[in-house]
Amino acid sequence: MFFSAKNAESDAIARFPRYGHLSAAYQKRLKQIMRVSLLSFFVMSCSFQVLLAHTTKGQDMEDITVRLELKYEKLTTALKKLQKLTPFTYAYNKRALGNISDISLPEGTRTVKETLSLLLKGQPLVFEQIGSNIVISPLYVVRSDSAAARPDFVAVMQQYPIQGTVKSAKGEPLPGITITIKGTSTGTISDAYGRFKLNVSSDQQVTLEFSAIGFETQTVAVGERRELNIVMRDKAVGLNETVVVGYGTLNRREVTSAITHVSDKELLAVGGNNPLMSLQGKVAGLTISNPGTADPNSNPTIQLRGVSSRNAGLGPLIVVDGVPGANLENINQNDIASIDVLKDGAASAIYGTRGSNGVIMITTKKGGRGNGPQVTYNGYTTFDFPTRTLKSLSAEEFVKHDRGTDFGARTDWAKEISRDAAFAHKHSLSFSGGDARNNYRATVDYKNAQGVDIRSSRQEYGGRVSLNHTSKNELWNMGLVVAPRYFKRNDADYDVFNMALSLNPTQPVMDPEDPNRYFTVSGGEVFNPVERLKTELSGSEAKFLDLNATVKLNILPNLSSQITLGQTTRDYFDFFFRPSTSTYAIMNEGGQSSANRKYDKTDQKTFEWIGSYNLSKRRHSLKALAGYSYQYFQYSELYAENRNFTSDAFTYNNLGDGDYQQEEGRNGMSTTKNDSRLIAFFGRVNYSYNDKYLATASLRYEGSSKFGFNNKWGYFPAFSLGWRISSEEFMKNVTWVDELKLRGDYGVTGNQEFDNYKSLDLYSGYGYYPLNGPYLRVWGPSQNTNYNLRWEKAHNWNVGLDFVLFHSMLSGSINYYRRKQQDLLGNYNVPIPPNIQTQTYANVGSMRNSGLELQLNVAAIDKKDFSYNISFAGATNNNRFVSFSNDQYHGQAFIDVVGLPAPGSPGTAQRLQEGQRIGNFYMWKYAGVDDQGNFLVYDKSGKPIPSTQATNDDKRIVGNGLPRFTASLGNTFHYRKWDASLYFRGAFGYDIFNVHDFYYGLQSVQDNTNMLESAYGRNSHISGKNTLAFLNDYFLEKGDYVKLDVVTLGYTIQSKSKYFVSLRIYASTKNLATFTSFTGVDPEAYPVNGLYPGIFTDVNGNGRKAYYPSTTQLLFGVQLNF
Amino acid sequence: MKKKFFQTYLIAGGLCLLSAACTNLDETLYDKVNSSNFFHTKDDVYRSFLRTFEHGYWTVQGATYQMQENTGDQVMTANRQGHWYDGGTYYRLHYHTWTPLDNYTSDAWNNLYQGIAQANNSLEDLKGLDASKFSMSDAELKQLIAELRTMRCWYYLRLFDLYRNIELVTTFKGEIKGKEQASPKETFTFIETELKEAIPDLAAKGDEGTENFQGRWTKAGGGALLARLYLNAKVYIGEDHFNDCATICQDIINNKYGNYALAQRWDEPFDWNNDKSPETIFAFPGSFGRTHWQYDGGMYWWGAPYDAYKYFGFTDWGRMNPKYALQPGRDVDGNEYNFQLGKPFLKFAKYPDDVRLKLYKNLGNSTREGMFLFGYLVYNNGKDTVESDNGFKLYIRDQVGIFNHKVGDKLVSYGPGEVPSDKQSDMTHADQNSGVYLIKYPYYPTDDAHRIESDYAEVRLSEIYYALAECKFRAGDKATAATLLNAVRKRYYPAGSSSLYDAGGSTLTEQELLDEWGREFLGEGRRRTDLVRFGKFNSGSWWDKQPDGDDHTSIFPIGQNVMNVNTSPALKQNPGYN
Repeated sequence: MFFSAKNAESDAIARFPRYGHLSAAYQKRLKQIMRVSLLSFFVMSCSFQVLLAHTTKGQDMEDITVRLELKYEKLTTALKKLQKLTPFTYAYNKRALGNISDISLPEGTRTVKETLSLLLKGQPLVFEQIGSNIVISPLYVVRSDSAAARPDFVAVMQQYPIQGTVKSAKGEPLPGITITIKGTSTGTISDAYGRFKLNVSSDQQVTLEFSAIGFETQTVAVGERRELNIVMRDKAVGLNETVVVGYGTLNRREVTSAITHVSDKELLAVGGNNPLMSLQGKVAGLTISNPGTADPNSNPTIQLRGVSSRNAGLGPLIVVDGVPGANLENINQNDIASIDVLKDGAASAIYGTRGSNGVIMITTKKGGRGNGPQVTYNGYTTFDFPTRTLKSLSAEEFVKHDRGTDFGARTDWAKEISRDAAFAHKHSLSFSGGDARNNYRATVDYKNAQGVDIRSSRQEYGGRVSLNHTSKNELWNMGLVVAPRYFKRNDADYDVFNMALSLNPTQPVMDPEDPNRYFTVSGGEVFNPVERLKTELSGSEAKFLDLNATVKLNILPNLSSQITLGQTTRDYFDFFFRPSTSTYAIMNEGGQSSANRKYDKTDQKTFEWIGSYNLSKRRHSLKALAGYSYQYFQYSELYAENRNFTSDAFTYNNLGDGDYQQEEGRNGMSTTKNDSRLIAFFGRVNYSYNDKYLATASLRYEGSSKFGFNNKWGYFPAFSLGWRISSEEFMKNVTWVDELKLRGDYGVTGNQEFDNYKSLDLYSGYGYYPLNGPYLRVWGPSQNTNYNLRWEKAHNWNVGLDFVLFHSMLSGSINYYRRKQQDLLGNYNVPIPPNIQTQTYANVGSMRNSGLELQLNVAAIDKKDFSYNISFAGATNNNRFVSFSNDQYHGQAFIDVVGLPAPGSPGTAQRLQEGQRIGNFYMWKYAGVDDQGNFLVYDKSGKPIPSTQATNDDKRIVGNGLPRFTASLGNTFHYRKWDASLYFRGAFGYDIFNVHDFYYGLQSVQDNTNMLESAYGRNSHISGKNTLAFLNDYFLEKGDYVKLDVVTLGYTIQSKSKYFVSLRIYASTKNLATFTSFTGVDPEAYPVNGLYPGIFTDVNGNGRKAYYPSTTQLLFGVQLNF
Repeated sequence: MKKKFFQTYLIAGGLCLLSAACTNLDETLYDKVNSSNFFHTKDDVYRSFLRTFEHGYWTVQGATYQMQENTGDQVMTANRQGHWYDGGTYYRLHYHTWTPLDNYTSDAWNNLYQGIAQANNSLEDLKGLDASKFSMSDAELKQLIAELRTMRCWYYLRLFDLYRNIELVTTFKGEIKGKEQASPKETFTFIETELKEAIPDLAAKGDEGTENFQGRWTKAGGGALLARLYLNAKVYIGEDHFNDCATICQDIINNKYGNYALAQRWDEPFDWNNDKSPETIFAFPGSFGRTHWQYDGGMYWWGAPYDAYKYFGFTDWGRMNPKYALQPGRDVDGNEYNFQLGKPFLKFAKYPDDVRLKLYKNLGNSTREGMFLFGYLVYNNGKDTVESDNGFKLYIRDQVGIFNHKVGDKLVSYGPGEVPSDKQSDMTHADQNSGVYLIKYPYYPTDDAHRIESDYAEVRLSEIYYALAECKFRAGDKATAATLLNAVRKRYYPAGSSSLYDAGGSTLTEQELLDEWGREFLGEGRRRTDLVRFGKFNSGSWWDKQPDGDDHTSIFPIGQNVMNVNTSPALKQNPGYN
């Protein structure tokens, strides 16, 4: 943190005595130093704003007295002693003061100010109180305190005074602004009321420069004026924020690649299971899709810049506090300080192997530094109401249309399996404190949430403790994070909702002949959904533990080395139980109760060792980094099942009691274990010339145990260039441009996210076969070998423009990217014979994604009492599946995918084809209906033909499920103590296959099966008998939607009472309204991530009907600071 | 001081990076092994050896079964009021209008070649082994290799029969690409040569060590496969090999390949202890707790009404399924159809004293009577009757149509003598009363110690008798043919029954011979082959089936999923399917 300052400082201070006439270059340099050391200090104090807020409240160094005696002490020791005795924090550059010794002070009681004056007497130093901090800085800035001049320290020349005030744009007085006379070493700092006074020489050409961290530097020609009223403009936050990159941080100005930084304040206030749901739509190009948002146990899929692979992992690498592969579910949103999304190849290539899908860097909050202890409580309660639910025929309508046997009951199955409103609440309590050297933060949280179905729930508690310590000699920094979490979940069953749509509504829930038993429902492949949810137990008890320890050695001021050890553990103990009374068990399992348990354990250990070096010489600045990374992944599992227990009361707790497994040949247990390793060497150099021309180059050399023995290692280079146009001389007069940076980059990233042992000639155990009587387990090859299995590599190009305009009113960035994925990993269809399996895991094919991303922030109104901020994120995605073949594997030019389930054999809904966008719907084209109400479709010559005559050749591409454009629009308002936000989100230019209308929306469904109201409404013209499961684009609808997604209203009370400092109460809604022409469920419930967008699919990529209803969420929350 | 830190740090780190542990990326196997470290004991040799046998059992059901039975004149999978429509895939089997897009055309190919790949792999493993290291004799290893070759021939024979133009692949390890298709003649010679080479090395039944030789290939098994090849040679390569067939059949019957004998009880070859039956030449070992593929959904388990399990008292597995049933012999009005083929139930009824004609019934103590389900299935001491899945009492009949209707609020079946007004009877128009069900393998009740214990009889001695009878018949020796058939048939009829063929064979016509194949091997997965050999498969008519336009459908197309991946060398599609 002190690096830049340290470099030049020691020589500057040492060489130039007070009042020395410094060369212009050195003056400038010194100013920089001053700013940088202030920056260091400010960063340590959390933020500049905090300091300002305290200025008026704190105690004054003139009021506090201290009794102190010193004999031949070092100055730094003296200050430490003083710190112990006073409520102030003393900020200084240790190295600058380190050489000053032999300080003596006679015993006596003095004010702090007097004491400091004596201590610093004769030294080239000044001091200044800012809030509860006292800053001691080198004396090139000359102090001119309006309250009391101290002749000792003021550089007095024969001059006239200029005075004035410095205020913020909102009209608040600004203390602590540095005011220097341009071209000299003379200057001052504004006081607590924003006032300043400065003597200038009679030279008419005086120009003053006003500067401070967080503000734009202003240069004012004084001219004849003696009184100046200066308004300081906030520097665009974006320009100064610290951006977290792989293995380090950069100032926003230094960044040369596409990185989106989102601070905790920008995250959405939503209640959900996964913290990334609060990021939904915020980052252009990052698609967070959750088909079961209202399911308390669901996790979203995350995809950056389009689908990246056929089969290997599609989700970005999650890095939490520098530990790659961390567990998102173990993060309390309240602990997130910021999220940085590394979007392009150059940014993510430092994580080479797993960077193809981008990298999401999460920085958690750390203990306060110098702010004293702080306690925060966050709590919220949510109510989720099902929305956009599908309506089946009521029992009365069912009977009226004579759809099947009337069993006499009138049951609304959907209602029977749903709660009116799902209730959840979450509480977290954080306390933090400490100082720059030692600090801590601890958070504990508790959550209890229900789903909208009557079974699912989640109960969890967890904590995160973070400790940081810097050794006395500042040689060592140590950090430790411990984050445990425990939860129990009862799982939802997505099948119950489509079962409720299709069950005969005249069937009762309970058996009329035995009201204690559930009714055995009849129809096709059916079950009683109420019974399933109420009597079957299914879920998991889980434990997470994240550990992360860091030791950093500051070898030289600009050279450090750091070791990080991390471990992430996830343990799940799943349970399942179905009682013997189950009508399903009676029908299908001989009336036997059944239960199973599965214990699985995922463990990831990380060792990383990095060294970093910085060098600044004149206008050159260099940062270099080198490192080694070792990661070890392990999975193990234990499973046991049994049936037919003595008592249903055991549920899943007495598996040994069942007699089912006593049958010879049955086993009912299994264990498994596998592991893998990732090893990398990497390095990076950041260079900047004059803060204007920036360049970064990195290289990662990485190996993964998963690949074929010849291809385990790969190189992942990247480079990027940046040009800060706004710093050029010719831009000096273009005042409306605050910052303008053009950048471009190229990087190679990889993907190895697939199962272990895919390259080997594995033998696995299969069934049993008798060998002369007793049975022997047979073993044989379980996969096609592929000794050439190698890295999937992506070549990423990105050009971008970052800008801050109109005095920070408008800021944002534009990015255009192009990414070509080569050697796509995936199961590739191969011939049997000679192969033993139909698919080999191989590197075949390539895919291209490109797109334009725009991220905008407009500070539309920025007044003291009222502010209005608009943010916009928009992204386009162009996708091409380039090729399906390579030198070794030659396949067909397409694959038909997403096979739809029974009833009927509808076939596949999508086609992946060379040269085409993924997500193409490939089916017959609707051409109306004939006299009998049966489908007509167009044949390949464009002529309408009856559906019975349609052949496969008549199918065609009829739509695409991948949105061409996604966007979000955020509006935030502050009015005095009120804050409000309106957040819109949408996706455009794509089609959705309305799977429920397809299966349940026609009158031709089987007898005794219920159907949607649309069968007799919107789709009533399709009344023919031969219409079921006939796949055509009648059921394809525009998916475009706009959601009024999050609306929040908050009220904040600042308190001076001893009980609390501030209180914010807020109410928020999620998914308040959806504007769309789509007639099915919430269009957002249809996934847009992955290879098969726009249609429901299961884990194997087959179509499915099961879904989870969307909800509108109402949230009430409280934030309390003590 | 600082320098020292730095040095220590660097040295420690440098050492770490140089050591192999920090850059080692070998994979460690825990619950799996690979071929290099698999073989340690004799058992391991057998584990690899038996892999293809275990897989082979699985291949008797599913795609291959449908292709052999649903395409013929005996078994149907009709659309039962919405059940088993499945996009018309079973219609196409019945009407011979399948296309390469029907999954079974790919699945059968892949399933059978998978077994071949397993056999090839094991052959390569075993040929590389030093028998003495596994306390085996060279002869034992040789016998295992012969068995694997025989097993491979069993797969090849079926592929040959279904697709005719197939690849001959004998190696596995390191192979990525397939081979050009062999000509039928090449394939025929390959199978013939392989079997002839293997048979001498195979064990004969009764040899030392074969007391418990369940599910293993013996000399007689190999001979039976050779008989199958020769019997159909005319179809396969246009050459008549009936004499070769007769020779080998006679040798087997003469116990040249070990002692076999025809079962005396009609259901013995299918009963729980059929592994001990002298008629069994090759059977896949089934057991309740382990595998029992003929009892699964791909075969007989889905050949009975949903709730028939209650009738059997076998409640361990839940519901059955009426996917497979016998084609009807009568129209909706009850009149016998006048076509020659098909009508399987009536073919049995032609000899009314056939013991198999009885309604299937469990008699206790692992015994049964009857081979069919028809009429009302009454159980629970007459209190309950098996119903359809939507609630009407079934009255199962040798007819196809809609035999249920609404009476008031309830669905009711037409009873005996009642005739519905809806006369439509075809694949698209059936209900759950339609078609008699075949129960070949017994379903003993849940409390019976021998429930689901039967082995699946793939080759039994009666087939050798029938094959020899056909050879004799074709050679004009009807008397011998009748004698051979009667040797088997006598167990179905009372002693001295007139249902037996007369000694001179005068009643034995070609149609009768084909019918008799159908009776003896009903539902055993070979009907298509027999119909083709008799020249009826494409030209014959049976229920809801007109003769095909030509005979290209006598073999199947190679499925699209197979064609798609076989691009180098590209497979040639069978004629008539492009």
